Amino acid sequence: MLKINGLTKSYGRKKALNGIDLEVAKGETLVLMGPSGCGKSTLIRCINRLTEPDAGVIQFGGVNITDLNLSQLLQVRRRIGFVFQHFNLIRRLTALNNVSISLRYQGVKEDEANRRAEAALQKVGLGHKLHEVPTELSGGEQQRVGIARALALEPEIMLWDEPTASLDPILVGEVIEVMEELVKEGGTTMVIVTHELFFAKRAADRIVFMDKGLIVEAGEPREVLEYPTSEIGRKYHHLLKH
Amino acid sequence: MLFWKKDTFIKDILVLLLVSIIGTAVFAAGFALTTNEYFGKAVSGVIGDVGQCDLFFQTRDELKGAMVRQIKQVIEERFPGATLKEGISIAGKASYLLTLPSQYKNKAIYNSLSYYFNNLPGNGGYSVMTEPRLAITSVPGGVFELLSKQVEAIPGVNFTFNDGGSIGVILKNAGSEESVVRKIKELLQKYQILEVRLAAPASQEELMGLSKRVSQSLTGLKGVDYVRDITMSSGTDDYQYLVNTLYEVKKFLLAYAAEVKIQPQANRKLDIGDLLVINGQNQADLKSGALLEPLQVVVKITGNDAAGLRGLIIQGDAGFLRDNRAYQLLPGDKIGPFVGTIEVSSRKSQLVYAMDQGIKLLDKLNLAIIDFNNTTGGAGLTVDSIEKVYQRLVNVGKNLKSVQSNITGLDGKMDRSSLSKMVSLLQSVGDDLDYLARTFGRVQILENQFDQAISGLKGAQFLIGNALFPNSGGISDKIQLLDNQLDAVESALRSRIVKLDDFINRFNPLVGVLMSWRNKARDFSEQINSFGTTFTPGNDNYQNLMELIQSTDQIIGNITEINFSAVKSGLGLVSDGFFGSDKIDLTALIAELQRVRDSLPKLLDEEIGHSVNLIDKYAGGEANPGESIQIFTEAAIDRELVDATIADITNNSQIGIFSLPVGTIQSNIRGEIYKILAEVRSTIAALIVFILWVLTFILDQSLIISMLKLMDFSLLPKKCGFRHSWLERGYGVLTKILKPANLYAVIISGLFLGLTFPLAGARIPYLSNWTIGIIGGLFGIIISVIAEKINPVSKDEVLAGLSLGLPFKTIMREIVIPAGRPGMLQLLNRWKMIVK
Repeated sequence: MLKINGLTKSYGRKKALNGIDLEVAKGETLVLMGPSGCGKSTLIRCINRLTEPDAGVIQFGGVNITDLNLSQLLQVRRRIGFVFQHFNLIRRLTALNNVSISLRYQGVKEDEANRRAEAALQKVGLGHKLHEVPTELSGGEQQRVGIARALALEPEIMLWDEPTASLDPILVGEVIEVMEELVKEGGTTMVIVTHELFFAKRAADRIVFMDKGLIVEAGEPREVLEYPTSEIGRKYHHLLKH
Repeated sequence: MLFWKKDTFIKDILVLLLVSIIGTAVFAAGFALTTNEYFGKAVSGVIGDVGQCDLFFQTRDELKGAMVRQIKQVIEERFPGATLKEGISIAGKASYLLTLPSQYKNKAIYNSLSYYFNNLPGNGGYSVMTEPRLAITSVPGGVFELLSKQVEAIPGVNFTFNDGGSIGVILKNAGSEESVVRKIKELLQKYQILEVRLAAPASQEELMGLSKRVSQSLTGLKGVDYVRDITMSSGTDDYQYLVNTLYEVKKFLLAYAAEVKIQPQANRKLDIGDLLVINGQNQADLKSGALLEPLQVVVKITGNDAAGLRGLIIQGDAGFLRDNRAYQLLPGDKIGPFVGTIEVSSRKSQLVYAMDQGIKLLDKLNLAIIDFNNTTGGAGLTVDSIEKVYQRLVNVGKNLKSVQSNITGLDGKMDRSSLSKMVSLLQSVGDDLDYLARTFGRVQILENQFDQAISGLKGAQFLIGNALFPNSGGISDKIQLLDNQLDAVESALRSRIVKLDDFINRFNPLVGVLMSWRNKARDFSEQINSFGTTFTPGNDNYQNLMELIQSTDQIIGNITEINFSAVKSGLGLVSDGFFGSDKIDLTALIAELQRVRDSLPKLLDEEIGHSVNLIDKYAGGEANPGESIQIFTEAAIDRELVDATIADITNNSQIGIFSLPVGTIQSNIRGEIYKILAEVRSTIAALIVFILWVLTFILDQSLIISMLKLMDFSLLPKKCGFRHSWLERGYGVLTKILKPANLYAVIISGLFLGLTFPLAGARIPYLSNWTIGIIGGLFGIIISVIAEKINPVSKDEVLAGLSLGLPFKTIMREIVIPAGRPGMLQLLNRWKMIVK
């Protein structure tokens, strides 16, 4: 589904990604974990080229994303759902419009777009707040609108960039719940950047530990969390035990 | 065409730009035109419509009643038929418009307006508003009349007048304005004012002297036909006239004052300003170390030139001087050492003496002529008496010949009655001859007195004439007139002397012969009376008779040769209306000389000295020193020659000589006001354009620029691959400068201002539309720098749009613009939005 080879990205002299090789199978739920600044978010943003990589190849469904022109890239992005840490909702639009807008620009008629948007919002438990604007929603609700927006596109892959990082612990639960529901539903490939260790252990098919722009360890959750080989893995193991 | 069919955001930008530019231009032009219209109406309200008003009065609001009463009184007395209309009141000032009937629109009336309308209440003043009218401003006072006359000669000009220091030009009709303006410009270009700027400020007195020398030197140079020194007449300040007058008075006083020449002792250095003391009417001789006494004479050294030291008496008078030994006067009025000798020539005494001598001589001359006429009965009588003598001699001759023939017929015997008759005849001739001799003597005396008068008058003239008053203005002119009259008297005297000489030369030998004949005739008559009447050929009586006959014939012959009418007219000139034929009234001339003598200031030298000092103090301290002189001359002058001449006079080749225009023509006031209003309109339009530019960029363009910056678009590849770090840094800077956001800001801002200015008719003085465009570009840079602060774009929302695969135009239309500030961009965007 997704194949990354030799991906590098620098911000000035600092190397955020230092030759990442990664493959994600169709329907797989991959959780990226690691300390802050290790390159997780950069990696996930490079996948749909919200951040332009310096070098490397990203193949998505057999298409080299890094070679695409802007117009082609837009088409590919519509196949990739993206959930932001800060929700990134359009403040002037209602929850329904935030979700339907991308459908409308894909040529879906207004009624159909609204219906699909409403369905997506129902799915994340916000059917009762279709016409509220983001400022009227709680953080968790806003993030669920963000999730619905990504889901409405019916993406082949969903990228989650620390979806609970901006939420207080009480609200984290409702988002985790939605995420776990989606994972359980299956069918959608997911790449999730998160610090939610228990969620990762429960939901992930595979966990990848990153440190300093490199993948330091990868494997099934039980394997990497119970018997970590990397320093980062051991830290997470320690956290899990205590 | 395809471009306009495609739905792109660039098209949105172009539409926005077009709408902004056109909207701004229309609004700015409309606002400016409305303002212009308002001011135009205000102007018409203030100065009336064209031709409606001739004089515009203004005064304080509360005093307008008094002013109107005064104006109406003048109208009633001087300008019947004139109408007064109230204008508008602005800022506590009331205005009135006066319309004069056409018969009052002439030079004389307009030049007298200040007389009629002076001292209006509340410092009220008036302005001439008659149209069509032009004004020539900045005309120096010295050439005001010259230019006025030449302007008046231009076809289309009705008349000119003095409009408060400018030449007001009233035209015959508005149609001639263009041609008159052209002609006046040509006229003004014919002349120039040469301003010679001095290296250091000079006193007014020095400037006057220098300007006079310069103008005199320029006169007569090749190509210079007209030169006038206008240094002192360029201003119109009354104070300047006062200073000029004071300098003239000073000149007069100096011409009248005693001139003191100082000969210092060897090795004794005296300077200008030093004071010297000389013995005056003081009793005891002055001594070094003593204090100054009031009766001593004090001289102040005022000059030092090639002729030596010169001074002015500031205490006492030249007439008081007892000797010529000068002592220095030290501070504290202490008499110092002997420093030299002085030589005084008192012009005042010389002048009075000369006047007295002239009067005496002319009096004497007058009396001599009166005496001549009284004693001789005038020239006519003199010549008549010669003729009478001639006739009587003819008779005597006849009688003598008759006696001779009788003697021959009567054998030497004559009758007693014939002899008595002849004796009586001879005696009467003798009386006539005596008178003739006396007259001749008087003529000789008169000639002698004429000679004396000529030499006396020459001496007096020398003293009175120009040598005494080289440049002293009015008094000099009067003295010059007297001098000319004395010249005429001298000339008349010379011509009379020639006539008298002629008379004397003619009659001198004849008078001798006549006197000899008279003696002979007297002897003969006495002989006849004493010795009887026997005349026999050969006896003494007969011999005497024959001699008398012979000499009588000879005299008659001599007298016959005289041209009596010529002699009469020649001598007539001498006595008959002596000076009348030359229109010289000798009595009046004497009276005039007496008047001049009596009017001479009766001042002591010390009074003159103090007056001169006072003038120097006042004029020297109060008058601003000048740094330039001004010469009015033709424009087509050989500047090199002029520069060289002036450099020669001023002894400075680096002196600044500048050519200035003699005046500036100003179009009619209404035209000027409308021209100003047009400038105001274009400036207002410019301000509106700037305001709308700011609004457009704050509300609309800054948002686009912010978005371009957020997207971090780049025209150049981000990596250059240069090996050298400085090249890489340079490339980095270039990449930043050439960011599309910056280029967009510069181009759009430049285009906006560059296009809206000409479209709106906006203008900023001294700046072309190209310059405005460039300034717009520069402002664009500033906007680019601060765009994110003015109109920030939510990065999160944009990222959301990007992640959803929305194109740039959609992100702009649906996310960025609706979230931006409300402006034209938002307004136009409403038609493009899908999710409203």
